[in-house]
Amino acid sequence: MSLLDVRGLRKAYGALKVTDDLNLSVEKGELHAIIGPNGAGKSTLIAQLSGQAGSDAGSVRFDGAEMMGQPMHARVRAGMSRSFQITSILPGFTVLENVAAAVQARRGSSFRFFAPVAGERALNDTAMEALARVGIAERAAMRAAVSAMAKSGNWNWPSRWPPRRNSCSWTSPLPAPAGRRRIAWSRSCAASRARSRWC
Amino acid sequence: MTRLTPTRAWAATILFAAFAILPMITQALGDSYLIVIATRILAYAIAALALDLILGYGGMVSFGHAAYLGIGAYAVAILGRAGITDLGAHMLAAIAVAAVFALITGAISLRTRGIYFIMITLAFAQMGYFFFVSLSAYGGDDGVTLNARSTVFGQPLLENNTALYYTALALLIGLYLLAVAITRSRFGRVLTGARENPLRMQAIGFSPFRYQLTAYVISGCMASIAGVMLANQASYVSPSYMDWHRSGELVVMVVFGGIGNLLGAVAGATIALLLEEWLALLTRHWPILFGLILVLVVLYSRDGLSGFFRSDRS
Ligand SMILES: Nc1ncnc2c1ncn2[C@@H]1O[C@H](COP(=O)(O)OP(=O)(O)OP(=O)(O)O)[C@@H](O)[C@H]1O
Ligand SMILES: [Mg+2]
Repeated sequence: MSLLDVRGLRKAYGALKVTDDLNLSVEKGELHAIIGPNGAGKSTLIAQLSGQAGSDAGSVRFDGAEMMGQPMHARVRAGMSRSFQITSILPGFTVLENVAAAVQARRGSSFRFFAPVAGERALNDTAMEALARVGIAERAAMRAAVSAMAKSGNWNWPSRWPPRRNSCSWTSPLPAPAGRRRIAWSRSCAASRARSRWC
Repeated sequence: MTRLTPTRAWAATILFAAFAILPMITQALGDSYLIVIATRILAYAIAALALDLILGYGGMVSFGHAAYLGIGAYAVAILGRAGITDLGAHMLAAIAVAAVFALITGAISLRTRGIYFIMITLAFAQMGYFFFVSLSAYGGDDGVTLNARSTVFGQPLLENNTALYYTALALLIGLYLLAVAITRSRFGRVLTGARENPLRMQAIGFSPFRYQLTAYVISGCMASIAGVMLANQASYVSPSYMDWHRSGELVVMVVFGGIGNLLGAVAGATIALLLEEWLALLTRHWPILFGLILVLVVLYSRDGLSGFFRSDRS
């Protein structure tokens, strides 16, 4: 069975049918690109898959589980993730905190009110590792809003870190591959970085 | 995110130490009115602190936080009349009712954003206001005078103004430390993140709603404690505690002190109330002067008064 299986997906804005009966399946380890002119509906499709936008009809199955009707954060926890065409960060946080927040989302409860999160070595270490992997470790303490890379808006944060056993990530307008191993993740990351000029 | 810099820790220590020695100074001056004002200031500081937690850190501009002052105040009046006079019981009752009220109204309000959130929190507070206005058993519009202040271990200790003052100060310091811990915790990071960029937080796997609602409830509970203190300070309870003017004043205090700066909220409440007392001596039209000062502070420092003391502004 495909890792991602989309059937009969539809979405219309008024009379404009943006996604019209779309079928798509992505196998593990595959890398796909969705291309089309401006306004073709690429971003809308990604938004539908990620749960950011609702769909009029259809089904999105990920790793065998129906994702339709699930909110965005639930899909992320199931292993689907996305990045954004327009850079989306937490501007007031440091670069490290941006990534550590993503690690935190997948490690333990965040309904913890007393212990200072800045002191959680495990979160920071994993986040530092991710930053080092994409070569911006030296910017860790910098405010994300100030970081030149973020400003230029042409680079995507390693937000998909840490990769799940089953993870599928993409960057609009270019979906990145699904993979079971870190190797696949880093390849997809490299791929999206290389193509980030078009994101 | 909150960084507890040494400067901030020092500022907190100095501010709270000043509050701690104040009764000695007023005693030396032989001024007994000052301690009454100061207790009121401490109570409002608790409320401003509570509001800043959701306004400054959560980005939720509640224009109905006076509702929780009223809930706390009426907890004292209603339990007191029923013969339950213990301060702990009053606070627990206030917190419980505030939690339920915040949970219900927060769950509804958080479905909206921006100006709609402001309006809907205002509307809920007004509902509370009119509920107590119609509560004729407790004086309706006129309110009701308390027979006695809350008791501690069955003793009427709080009848002494200085004892009440130190109780309020202890509560303020405790709640301040709690609020600081919350903003620096895992929970605080998610709350701040949801203010910074809710879509981003969803994209990394958080549901902002749950965290915002929890913060809203915590804030409401904290503010209800301020209401308990206010009722005791004035020995009087009326719907005016829940008036929308009062909600506005709380927002002003937070803005005054610097949004998203917990110590600033305490300082903002202090300075706003002191200014009010002082300007009222000068002229009957003091709100105009007060408004002018507020405009100047906001104009010259986006971070309120605390902005004037900061060196790390970029
Ligand atoms: N919220 C919306 N309401 C109404 N129409 C919308 C909305 N979002 C997108 N559209 C329309 O849907 C169509 C598809 O838009 P979409 O952003 O998905 O295109 P895209 O392929 O990502 O384009 P680009 O290459 O410019 O990024 C466009 O015609 C757009 O105007
Ligand atoms: Mg697009």
